[in-house]
Amino acid sequence: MVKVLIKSAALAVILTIVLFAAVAAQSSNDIWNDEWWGDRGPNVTYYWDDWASLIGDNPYDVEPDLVLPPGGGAGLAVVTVEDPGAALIEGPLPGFGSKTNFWDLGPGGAMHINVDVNHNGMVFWVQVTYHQGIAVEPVVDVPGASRMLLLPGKYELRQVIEDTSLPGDSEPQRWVTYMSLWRLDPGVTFGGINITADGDMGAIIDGVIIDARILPEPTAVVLGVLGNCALIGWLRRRRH
Amino acid sequence: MGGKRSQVSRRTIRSPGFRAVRMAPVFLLVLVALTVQPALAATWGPYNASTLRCIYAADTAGTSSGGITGTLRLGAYSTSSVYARVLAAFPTTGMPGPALITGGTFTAVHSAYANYSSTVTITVSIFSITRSWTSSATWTTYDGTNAWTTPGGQKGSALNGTQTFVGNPTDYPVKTWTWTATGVDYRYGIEMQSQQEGSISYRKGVGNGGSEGGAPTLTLTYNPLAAPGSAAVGTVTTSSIQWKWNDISDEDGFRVYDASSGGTNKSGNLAANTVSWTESGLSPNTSYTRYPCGYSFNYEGPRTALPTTVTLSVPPSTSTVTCDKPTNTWSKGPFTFTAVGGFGAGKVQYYRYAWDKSPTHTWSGSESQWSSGTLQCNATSTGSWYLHVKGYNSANVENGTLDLGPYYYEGTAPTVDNVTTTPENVGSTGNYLKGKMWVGAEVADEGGSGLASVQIKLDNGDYQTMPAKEGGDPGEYEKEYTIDASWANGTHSVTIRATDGAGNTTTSEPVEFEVNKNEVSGTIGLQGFTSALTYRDVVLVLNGTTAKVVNLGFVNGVSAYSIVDVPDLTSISAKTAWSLRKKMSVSAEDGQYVANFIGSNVVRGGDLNGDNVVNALDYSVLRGAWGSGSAGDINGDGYTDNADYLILKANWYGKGDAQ
Repeated sequence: MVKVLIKSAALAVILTIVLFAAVAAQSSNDIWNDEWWGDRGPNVTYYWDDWASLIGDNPYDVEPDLVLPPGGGAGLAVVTVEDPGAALIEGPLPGFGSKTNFWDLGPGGAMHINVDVNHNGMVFWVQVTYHQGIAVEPVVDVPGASRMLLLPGKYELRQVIEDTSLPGDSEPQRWVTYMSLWRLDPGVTFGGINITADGDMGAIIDGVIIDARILPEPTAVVLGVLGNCALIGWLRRRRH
Repeated sequence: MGGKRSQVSRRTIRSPGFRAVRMAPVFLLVLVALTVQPALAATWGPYNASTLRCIYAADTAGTSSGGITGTLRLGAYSTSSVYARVLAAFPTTGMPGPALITGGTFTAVHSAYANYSSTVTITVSIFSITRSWTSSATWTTYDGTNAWTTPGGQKGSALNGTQTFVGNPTDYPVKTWTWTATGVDYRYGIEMQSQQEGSISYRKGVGNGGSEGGAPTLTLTYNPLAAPGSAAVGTVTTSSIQWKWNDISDEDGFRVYDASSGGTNKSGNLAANTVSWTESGLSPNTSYTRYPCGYSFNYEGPRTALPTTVTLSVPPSTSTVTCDKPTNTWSKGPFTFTAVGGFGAGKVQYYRYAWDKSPTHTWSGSESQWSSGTLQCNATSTGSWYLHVKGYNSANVENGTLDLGPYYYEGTAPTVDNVTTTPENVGSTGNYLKGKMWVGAEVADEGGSGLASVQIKLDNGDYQTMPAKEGGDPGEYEKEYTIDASWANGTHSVTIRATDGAGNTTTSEPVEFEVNKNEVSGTIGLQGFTSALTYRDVVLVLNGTTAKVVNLGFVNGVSAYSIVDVPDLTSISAKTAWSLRKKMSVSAEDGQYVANFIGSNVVRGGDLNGDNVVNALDYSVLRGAWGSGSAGDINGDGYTDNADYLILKANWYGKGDAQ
C-alpha cells in the first residue's frame, strides 16, 4: 500500500513537470494557448483585444471581445484613464507596430476586471500585453488570490511579441505579454483583477486575456489518485 | 523918470505930547529917544516902553561902565573919553503908503540938563541909522549880543545941518535940522552925535517930552508912487514868462509880487525905469499872475495885476508820449499810447492827435483831443501806422508836435493745417506703440510779418518749439517724440500754435492718438535645445486670450524676445510646436513686463501633437518622424532621434500650463 502511495505521489510530480513544460513551450502571439489546461476541467477564456464594446466615458466599461467557450461566462473590464493618458488609441500608429486599439492609461491609470467565479475556488491565468519603452509594465494584482509558480522561482513570465525599436534607440521599444497565475481559494471573495499603470510612467496596454478555471473537488482528487493506484496495482498483479 | 517929483507931501512926526511943527500932509511917527547911557534905559520917562529905543553910552574902549543915566544926553560924560549919543526910533506904523522921501526936518529940544559947565557949546549932527536895533543895544552891539559894524551905531552920512547946544538953557530952545535928500532910509531912526566927542568933557541934555522940554520929532517930505500900468505879456515859454508894465515916476525901482498884497517878491529889486522882467523857473502849463509895483527907499507903491498867463505845455516827445508797441515792429495792435506823467498843470493840458498811415500830418485844429488816460488806437489794415500829436496848455496855446511811428500792423493770424501724427510702431488697433512718433504740420503766415514761432504742446504740457521739417518744403514743420515707458497708456493729443511777427496766434485743434506703451520682454529657454542658432516660432499668449507668434533665433537654447502692443498683463505663456506651454504671472506698474522662461520656467519639450500634454500620441509622432522628420525634432538639431526621445520621456505625461 505504501508503495502505491509513493508511486501516486511520483506520478503527480511528473504531471506537474509536464504542465510547466507545456507552459514554457507556449509561444502564441496575443493569446496564451490554453491547451495546457487539457482535460483539467472546463475553463472560460475572456478576451479583451479590440475593446470594441466600450461603453461610457472615463472610466469606461468594456465587455470582452470574445468569451470562450461561447456563453461560458460574463466579464467586464472597467478602464480608468488618468490624465494625460491618451486613452484608447485606435492605431495603428508609428511607434506601436502592428497593434491597434490599445490603451494609454496615463500615470496611475487602471483596469479592473471582473469575471464569473465559483465559490469552490478559481485559478486565473492572466495575460497582459503592454508596450515597453516610453511607458512601463503595469502591475497585476488579484486581491484575495495568491500567486502560483509558473516556473521554478518564477511567478511571472514575459514574452516579447513585437519589437518596435528603431535605429539609435537607447532602450528597447516593444510589445511584451505578461503572464501570471493566481489561485483563489474556495470561499474567498473574488475582488476582481486589477491592472494598474505606473504612477509616473503609466502603461500602454494592448490586450488582456483571462483564463478562469474552477478548482477541482479535493475528494475527486483523492479518489483519482487512489483509482490510479488501484489500477496500477491491478495491472502489476496481472503481469505476475 | 526915477527921482522925479510928481507930488510933494509933508508930515510931521512927533512924540506923544510933542508939538507938531507941520501937520499936513506929513505923517507922524512915534518918537522914541534914547540917551546914550552905559545902562539899559528901559524906563525912560513917559514914553511907551514898547516903542522905546535906547542905546547905552560907552567909552571909546567899548566899556559900559560910564554910568551915564538920566535924561537923554549928548557929548562927554566926565572925561573926554566917555561920551553919549542919542538914538531915536520912529516907528513907521501908519505911514501912509509908498512915496519918494525927499527930505525931512528933525527937531529936538535942548533940555535943561547940563553937567559941568553952563557955557560949553557943542555942535550936534544927526545921522540916519542903517540897521535895526533893539532896546538892548549897547555901544558895541545893536541887540545886546550882535555887534554893530561900527561901534557906537551904524549910521549913514550926516544929514544936512548942525545945531549948537550952548550952556544950560532954561527955555528949552528947539533945535531943528532940515535937509533934502532922497534915498535916505529912516526906518531905523536918527542918531544924534556931538562933534566934540573925545575933546570936551561935557554933555548936554535933549528933551524927552517930560520936564526936559519935549520929545524930538521927525518930519519927512515925500512924493507918493503911482501904480505901474499894465502891459501885454511878452514871451512865454514852458518855464518862463516875460512880464511887462508901464513905467511910473519917482520910483527907485520896481518889484514884482505874486500876490496883490503881501506875497513874495519874485523879482527882487528891479532898477528904476524897468518895464519888463522875465520870470523863469516856472512850471509848464501853469497859470501865473504877477503884481509889479514901484518902490522908493523902503516904500512900495500900489501893485498892478498883470494878465494871468499860462506857461506853455511840455512839447510832446518820445519820452512824454510812449506806446506799448515799439516802432518798426510788427504788432497785432491795439496800440496804446501813454502821456507820461499824465495831463494837467506842470505837464500838458491836452493833445490833439491823428492816427493814420501817413508819416506826416497837416494840422487843421479840429483833430480829436486826448486829455486824460491812455489813448488806444486801432489799425484797420495791414501796414505802417503813425500817431501825430500836438500839445496844448490850458489856455489852448499849442506847443510842439510829434510824429510817432511807424507801427507795423498785421491783423491776420497764420494758418495751421494738416496736423498729422505718424508713429514708428503702430498697434493692431491703430494705437501707437513704443518708439518714435512724428508730428507734422503745415504753417503759413498770411499777413507779411512772417512767422515768429511755431510751437507744439503734448497733452497739457508746455509749448515747445516745433522745428522746420528737415528736408521738407517751406512751411512744413515736424516734431519728433519718443514714446517710452514714461508715457501713460491712453489718449494723448498734440496741439500746435503758430505766432506771426505781429503776435497773431493760431492754435490748432488738438489731434488725438492712442498710446499703448506696454511691452513684455525677457528670455525664452527651450529645454534641451541645440546650442546652434536655430529659429523657432513661439506662441506667446497674453492674459490667456491674446496670442502673439514670434519667430525667435535661439542660441544655446535661449532667445530674447520683446512684444509691444500688449494690454495690461497678468500672465503670459509660451509654447512652441514641440513643447508644452509654460505660463508665468507678471505685473508691472509701468506696463514694462518682464517674463523670463528660463530655469524652473523653461519651456519643456515633448508635446508634438499640440494638445499641450505628452502622452502616447506625441510618442507616436516622434517615432513616426524618427530619423529625418522635423515633427519630432524637439531639440532643434535638424532631425528626430533618441535625443528628442529622451526629452519627451523626461516630460512623459507632462502637462502644459493653460494659456
